[in-house]
Amino acid sequence: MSLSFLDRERTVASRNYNRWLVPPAALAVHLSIGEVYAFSVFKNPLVTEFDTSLTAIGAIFSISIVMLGLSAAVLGTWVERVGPRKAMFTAAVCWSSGFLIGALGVATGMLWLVYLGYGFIGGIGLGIGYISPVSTLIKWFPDRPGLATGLAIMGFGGGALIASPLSESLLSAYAAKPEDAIVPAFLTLGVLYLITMSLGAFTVRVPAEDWKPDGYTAPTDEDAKSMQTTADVTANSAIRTPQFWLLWTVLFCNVTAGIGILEQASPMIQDFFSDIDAKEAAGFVGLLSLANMAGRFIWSSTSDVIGRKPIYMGYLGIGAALYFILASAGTSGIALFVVTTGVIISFYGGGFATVPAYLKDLFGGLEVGAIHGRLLTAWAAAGIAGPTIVNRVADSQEAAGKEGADLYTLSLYIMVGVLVVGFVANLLIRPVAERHHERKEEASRQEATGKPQLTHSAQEA
Amino acid sequence: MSTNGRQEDTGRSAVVPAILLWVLVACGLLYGVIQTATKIPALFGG
Repeated sequence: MSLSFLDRERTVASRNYNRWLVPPAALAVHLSIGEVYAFSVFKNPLVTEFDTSLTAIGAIFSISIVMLGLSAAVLGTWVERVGPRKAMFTAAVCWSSGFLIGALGVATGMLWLVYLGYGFIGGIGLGIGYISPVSTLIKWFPDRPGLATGLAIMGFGGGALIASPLSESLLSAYAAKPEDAIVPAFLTLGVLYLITMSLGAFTVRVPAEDWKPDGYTAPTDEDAKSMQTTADVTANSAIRTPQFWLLWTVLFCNVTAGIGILEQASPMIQDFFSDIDAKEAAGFVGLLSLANMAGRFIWSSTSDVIGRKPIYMGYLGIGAALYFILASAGTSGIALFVVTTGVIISFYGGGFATVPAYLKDLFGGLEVGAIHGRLLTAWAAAGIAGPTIVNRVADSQEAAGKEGADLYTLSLYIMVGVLVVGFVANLLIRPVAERHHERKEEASRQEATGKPQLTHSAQEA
Repeated sequence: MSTNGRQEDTGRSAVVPAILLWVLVACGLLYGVIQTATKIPALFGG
């Protein structure tokens, strides 16, 4: 069977195609892969089914997140070359195969098959799916890249909101005991996500070579905002610039601070306020999820108006101030605690959603998806650093005889320092030096074909 | 150019599925937001 319908050339839209028909394709993919944040629903049933520890089951999630970072970094250039449809479809096959192989592992009692399926293969689907719509959306919305990527990456936050209640419903619908319902629930989700992501893949379109939105004129060297480039930088050149590593530090610091709270949200609020029980804490977790999703769209869209560097100064600077308030006065009232953490988590989501537009400003649109993929290694590193800081500090404080909010005070002050480091890194970001720029005629040819040409730097070499 | 004809066809055939996909993702998001929002009142004693 010919798979040529997946080729980039077959996805080129007509000139009068409405660009607002493209975001749902991106959302379909991100809402599907966002399920990974609802994996905790399956944790206890899997522990019971395999009669093993929480750590052994938690490794499934960890493998998938590590594979997300690795595959986004390694396969970013491939995603740029083959175009969004083939990439999205590949992500759909990997992600749904992860569920199907995982179901086989549960049915046969082989935990390694769940590691291989949901963790390894599913994780590859996560990485490809996460970056696949980014550069396409930026090309459709050159005038509002923050809004475009915010809309898509909001889906990753929203995916867990859908998957969590859906998975709970499936587990209770298929069997009396949740552990007996894992296999049919995995199969159902695998098929559901294959259909949804495939719909996204088949409806996605790329703009024609010289298409522009009505009334839009590309910024020139003279009128471009100070941080916006009119040139393009390849992924291989980008990682040799200080700007890439400063932005890597910015993302790492912002995610480390946010993920530390997200991971501990339920026990944290119960430790801060002794009259809060598990059910009320679940309400707090739900509120943070909504703040995470809303922040992705609202703050990223706002960055189109005020600029990428200023908004990261807000995420990191105001974020540091809020962490300080939380550490010094967090126990003074539940309203203060909830509002402060809600804004912090909205900044966490906003940081994720704004970063592709920041990359586009600095490195141009030529290989922004591939550069974004490499930058996501900061996410994988922060996913280890954030929870480690909070958990280790809490353990050491508990060993020292402290309890309640005192378990977290030191780690919150550490997060203030982490955010200050990120703030300084953001301040140091300057436009990329011209020697890293691609020659314009080669860049436009490569952007049109999706195939790398002999680059300026390669010719020099 | 031959690709122009293909582009026009591609555009027309994509509109209806894309609109349906908008409806699907909007319904999905609404479901997720409502399901999550129902848990929040518990935080304030509801």
